[in-house]
Formats: sequence, structure tokens, C-alpha cells
Amino acid sequence: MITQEPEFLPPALNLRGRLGRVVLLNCRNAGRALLILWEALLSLRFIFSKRSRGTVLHQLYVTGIKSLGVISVVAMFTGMILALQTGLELRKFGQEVNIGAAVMISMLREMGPFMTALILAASVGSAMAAELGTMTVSEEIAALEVMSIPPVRFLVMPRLAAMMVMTPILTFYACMLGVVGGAVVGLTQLGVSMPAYIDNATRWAANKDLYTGLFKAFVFGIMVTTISCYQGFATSEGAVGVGRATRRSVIISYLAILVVGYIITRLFYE
Amino acid sequence: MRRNRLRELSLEVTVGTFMFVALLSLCVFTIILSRENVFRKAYPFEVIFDDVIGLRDGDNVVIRGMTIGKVKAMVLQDDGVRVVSALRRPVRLKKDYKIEVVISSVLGGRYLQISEGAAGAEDLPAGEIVRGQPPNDIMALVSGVAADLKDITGKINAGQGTLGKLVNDEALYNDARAVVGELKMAIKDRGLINNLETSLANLNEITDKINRGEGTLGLLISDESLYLEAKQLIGDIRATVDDMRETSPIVTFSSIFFGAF
Repeated sequence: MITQEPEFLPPALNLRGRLGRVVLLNCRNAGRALLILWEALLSLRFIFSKRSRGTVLHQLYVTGIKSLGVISVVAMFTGMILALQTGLELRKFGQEVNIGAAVMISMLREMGPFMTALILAASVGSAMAAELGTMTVSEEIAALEVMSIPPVRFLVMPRLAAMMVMTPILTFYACMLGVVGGAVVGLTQLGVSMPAYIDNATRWAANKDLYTGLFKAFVFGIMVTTISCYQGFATSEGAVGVGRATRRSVIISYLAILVVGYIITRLFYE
Repeated sequence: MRRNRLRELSLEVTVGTFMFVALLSLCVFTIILSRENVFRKAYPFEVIFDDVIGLRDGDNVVIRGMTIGKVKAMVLQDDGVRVVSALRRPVRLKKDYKIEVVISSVLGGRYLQISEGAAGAEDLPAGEIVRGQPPNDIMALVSGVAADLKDITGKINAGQGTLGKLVNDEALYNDARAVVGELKMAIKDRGLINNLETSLANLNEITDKINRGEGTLGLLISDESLYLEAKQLIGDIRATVDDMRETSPIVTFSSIFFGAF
């Protein structure tokens, strides 16, 4: 059951009780979110069914194509800033040609997946939480369950599939645009020629950097979808609740991206 | 109904094209990062090193300053490290070949340098294991120099050797100080200065006279006739000595013969 009866807990007696309740409630929320994720992953086998295909396609379009504009601008300028900051420091030692490697490796390993995930959490994830939250408070989710239509398969699975596919692709796109932005700054402000920049960038970066970044993006995509959909399903108290769910989905997604990003980096780069 | 279908078709085409382009770019980028040219034939080349001092996959292989390939893989084995490279052209090694790992800059980075050997030298037999040179590890050299310096400074501190005594022995310092003091005293003494000035003036006068050819020494240096006479005299002496040498057996015989009576 996705829809839950509203619960009214008695006030905690002391600080220890309040702290214990916060811990337990958060554990329960995490467990519910993971159960939704598990169900959505199992539902992925229906991805090419006639009923799901259109929804998945729509979600792919919303997640991928509609986010291209903002990701392009952010990635381009991130690459330019990285190139300028590192280039100005490296120029003191006559090593400005190494901005190629600095920008490429930073973008592939960290900045690309991190920025893409943050943008998607803020744009797509918040939209998911708001949409599902509105459906929850208007009892559309309950209606689906009454009609024996599994809400997770119908609503979460297409979003999850779209994010799993599009986050790595958008990350790769962001990395490439960031590298191009760095090349523009190198060429116009640091006097680094385009062939030298590209040679330096491709010389030091490795496939491991690329695929670790894409794996990170894939995990971020799953996390953002799970958190946003869960927050949407857990919405209560009308329009105010929808706003609160949207805000919480973005905040929790941001925190999870930071923490999990560090753990994955630690895992692959010891 | 038909309009909806067309809209969905357009959506499908947009998403499909985007994904196709992204995946194609990802494939191309993967090939670029793996530093392989799939359209060019590569010649494998294997060398065994005792130590590769930080050489890594993808580093350049250089012959006569020209990059001709990349390091593909490195395998740790019992007798060292086997470095496998992919070259753009085959390399024919001579018997006096030399292969080494070279540090490309002070900031790091290595490359594999191949010297094929002298043009007239014999070819390396096919199938022979190629071994690389032991590394010139700059850091090891620096460490060695630092150890030597430490040893030297230790000896100096212990007062060993000339430099050690010079640094540590106070007697030498005191002697040097005393000499400097005496020199200062001598310079301060006007009488000595006056004597020196007079001596120098006299010396100057004498050399002037010699230059003008005055006096015995002046004539000896300036008059050429004395040289000629001296030369003549030496010639006469030599002739006399020769005469004596020739007549000495007769004189000796006569002395013995007449001495008997």
C-alpha cells in the first residue's frame, strides 16, 4: 500500500524520546523509500509494454530534452571557471597548458555528475514530488490502488527508467560542454592552442574517470527519483504539504548526492 | 487521434536521436580516451624491465625523439615487469640496442625511449627477449648525493680532514688572526714604509741603468759583442777538449813506456 493513513503521535516525554522518535521515523521513511525503489526496479520488466511505453517516452523527453538548456549553460560556465581559475595559478609556473587535463578530469570525475544530478534534483525531482504529492492529496493514488493499478509501476517506474537512462547521458553531455568551455577560455585568455589543450586533456584522462563518473550519475539518478517519488507519496495536509514535500525532496536529494558522491569516489579512488 | 500519433512520433524521434547521438559520442570518446586508433595497424613490442619507475599505460614510446606508439599494458612477473607497447611501425633492433624509461619533466611523467643501435651493428636475432636498461632514478641519485653530503658534513663537524680542521680547530684561527694583527702593525709603522719606499726607488734606479746599458750588468745585457766573444770562447774550449781527447791515448802510452825506464 502506497497510501498511508495520517498518523497522530503523542508528544514525546523528554529529549531522549524525541531523538529516538526522529531516528526511528527517518529509518522507517528510508525503508519505505527503498521498498518503493525495489518495486519500481521489479516493474522495469514492463518498460516496453504498450501501456508504459508512451509514459516512459514522455518522461525521457521531460528529463532529457527539457533539461538540456539549463545543463548546457551551467556546464559551459563551470568548465570556463575551472579553466580560468586553474589556468591563472598554473601560469605562474608556465604550466597553463595543463588546464586541459585539470578541466577534463574534474568534469569527468566530479563536476559533471554532481552538477547534472543537482540540476535534475532541482528541476525534474521537485516536479516529480509536486506532481505525485498533488495526486496523493487529491486521492488519485488511492483511486489507482482501488482500481488495482499499481501506482509504483504506473507512476514511479517510467520516471525511474527515464532518470536511469538520462542522468548518465546528460552527465556526459555536461562534461563535453565543460571541456569545450575550458578550451574557449584557454584559447582566448591563456594562450593555450586548441590542439595542445585537447592533447593534454585526452592524455591524462582515462576511461576509468569517464565510467566512474557515469556510474555515479546513474546512482544519483536512482536516488533523486526514489527520494522525490517517496516524498510525493508521503505528502499530506493539502497544498501546504505539497510545497513541503517539494522542498524536502530537493534538500534530501542534495544531501544524499553529496554524501553518496563522496562514498563512490572513495570506493574507486583509494 | 492522428495528430496525437504524430506528436508521439515526433517525441520518439527527438528522444531517439538525442540518445543515439549521445551514445555514439560516448563510444567515440571512449576510443579517444583508450588512446587507440582502431583504423591503424599496431605492431606489438615487448620489453622486460627490472623496474619501470612509475611508467603507466598510455605513456609514449619514442624513437629518436619521435613518438611512434603507446604503452598498452604492464605485467608484473618473476624476472621484472613486462611492458607491452603498440607501435605504429615495426622496429628492428640491433645487438647494441638500448631501451630505457625516461622522466619527461620535473613535474612527473615518463616515456619509453628506444635506441635501435648503430646502423652497422648486427641485427638482434628474432625471438630474443628484449631487456630494458636499469632505471636512472633521479630521486635515487639525489638521495645518493644527499647521503654523500651528509657524510661530508658529518666529518667536517667531527673535525676530520683538512676542511674539518679548518672549521673546527681554533688554533688555526688564532694564528691567522695573529698574522693579520702583525701585518696591521707593520703597515702602521712609518719607518718600515719609508724603508720600503727607498728600496723601491733604488731598485727602480738600478733597472733604469741596466736598461740604458750602464755598468757591468747593463753592458752584459745590452752589449752583443760580449755574447759573441763568449760564444767564440766556448767554441775554442770545445776544440781544445776534443784535441786533448784525441791525444790522450798517445800521452798515456808514452808515460807508461817512458815510466818503465
